[in-house]
Amino acid sequence: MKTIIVTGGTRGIGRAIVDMLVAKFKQNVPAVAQTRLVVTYRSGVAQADALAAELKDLGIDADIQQMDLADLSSVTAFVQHVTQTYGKADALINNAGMTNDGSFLAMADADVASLIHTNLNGTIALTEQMVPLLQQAGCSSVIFMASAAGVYGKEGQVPYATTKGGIIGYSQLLARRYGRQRMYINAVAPGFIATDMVTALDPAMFEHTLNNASIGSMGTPADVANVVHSLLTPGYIQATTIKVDGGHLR
Amino acid sequence: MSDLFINSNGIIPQSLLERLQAAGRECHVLELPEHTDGAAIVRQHFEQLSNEGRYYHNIYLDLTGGFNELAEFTADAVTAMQRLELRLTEVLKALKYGSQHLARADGGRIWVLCYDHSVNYSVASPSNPITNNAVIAAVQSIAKEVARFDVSVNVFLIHPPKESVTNDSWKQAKQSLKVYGMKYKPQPVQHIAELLQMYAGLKNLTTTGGIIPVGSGIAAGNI
Repeated sequence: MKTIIVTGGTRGIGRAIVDMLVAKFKQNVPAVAQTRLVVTYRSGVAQADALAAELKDLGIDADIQQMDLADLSSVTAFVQHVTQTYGKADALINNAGMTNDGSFLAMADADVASLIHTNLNGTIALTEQMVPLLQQAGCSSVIFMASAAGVYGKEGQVPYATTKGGIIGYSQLLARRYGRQRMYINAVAPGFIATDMVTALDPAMFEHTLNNASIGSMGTPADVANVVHSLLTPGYIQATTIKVDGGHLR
Repeated sequence: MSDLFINSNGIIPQSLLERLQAAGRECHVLELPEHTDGAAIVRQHFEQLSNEGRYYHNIYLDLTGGFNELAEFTADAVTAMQRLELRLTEVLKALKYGSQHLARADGGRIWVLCYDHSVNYSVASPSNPITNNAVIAAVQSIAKEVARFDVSVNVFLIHPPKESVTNDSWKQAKQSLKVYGMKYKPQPVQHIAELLQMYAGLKNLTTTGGIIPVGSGIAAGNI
């Protein structure tokens, strides 16, 4: 049985990835019985419980676990749980993360440090601890949720962009170390995606961004999830960051 | 107006420093020893200068020395991770304090010096893809925020100079260096410093948020 791990999978893009995986499993009925989903959340217990109930109703073998990337003991406890319960991981989708936005010059040092600690250090800590479990699978995928901000920078998101750039760099470093062990390691960089945080905004705040993309509209979480799904199949795509940004400035 | 080097132990900043001083430029050096609160040293330095009404024009932040992520993560990921977190936090704070300092003046330039991590595929040289990609994203983002203060921020992504790698290594890598790009030509550090000096000396700098590859053939910053 395959084990696929999605961090931060109870809301936003993470939830879309879980929904997409479930939809794919249902299209290929044997896959439902052959794959289990391990989904983490940080604090949204109600959303986690709702997802667990939903997946149970669909007949999906799912394991919803609390994990906080900012707390290395929590990360270690999660990895121990996966080790003891499943003994391997076929895919790790590193989606969890946070942001502190605002003027960089006015930003508190603590806000800068917490982003690096959580988004970058936490993601690296989890992945490094997961490596033996990914190796145990024989052939595995690691997918990092980066951001367009990490590819071409973004005003008002300096530390966030820094951590996402770092994640892209880490995907390259990890591929250097494990690419020859049938570990497929890539990153996805979403641009302007219609998550609940964005759709609540006044359109005047983001119209200029949409006008800079050749498609001219927002992407959906499902657009990102479809790319993630395609990267779960082993192939010749390695150490690459795929931009899902509607053709921003291209 | 004078220039500041934040860390200068590498052969590239050393060579640049010597060239600038020989050209009559006043240069100061701020070394940030590891295991100290380097960001606090930078902040205090800028605060002191601001109180005296003195400001730099060029700030060089050297990241070419002291770290090799690929080697260190392979040897001991936990220790490497801790070093990386401290380093990146320090770099971001230094960029913030440096930008604030220049914004209080009439503007200025920040230059970050990094080795191109992709060269490590061919010859033994520091490979820091995490730091490089993080710093590139940071510089691109900061540049957008501080352009209104006439502060420009750029990254030099530099192939290691001829002097930092043995001649035998270049010869052994002859075949791999032909792949896709033109054959890599090792450049003396003096030539690299000359290019950096040229950029810094431009009266009207029209580049900010730029990733400037320094080397022949493919540089990671161009991929």
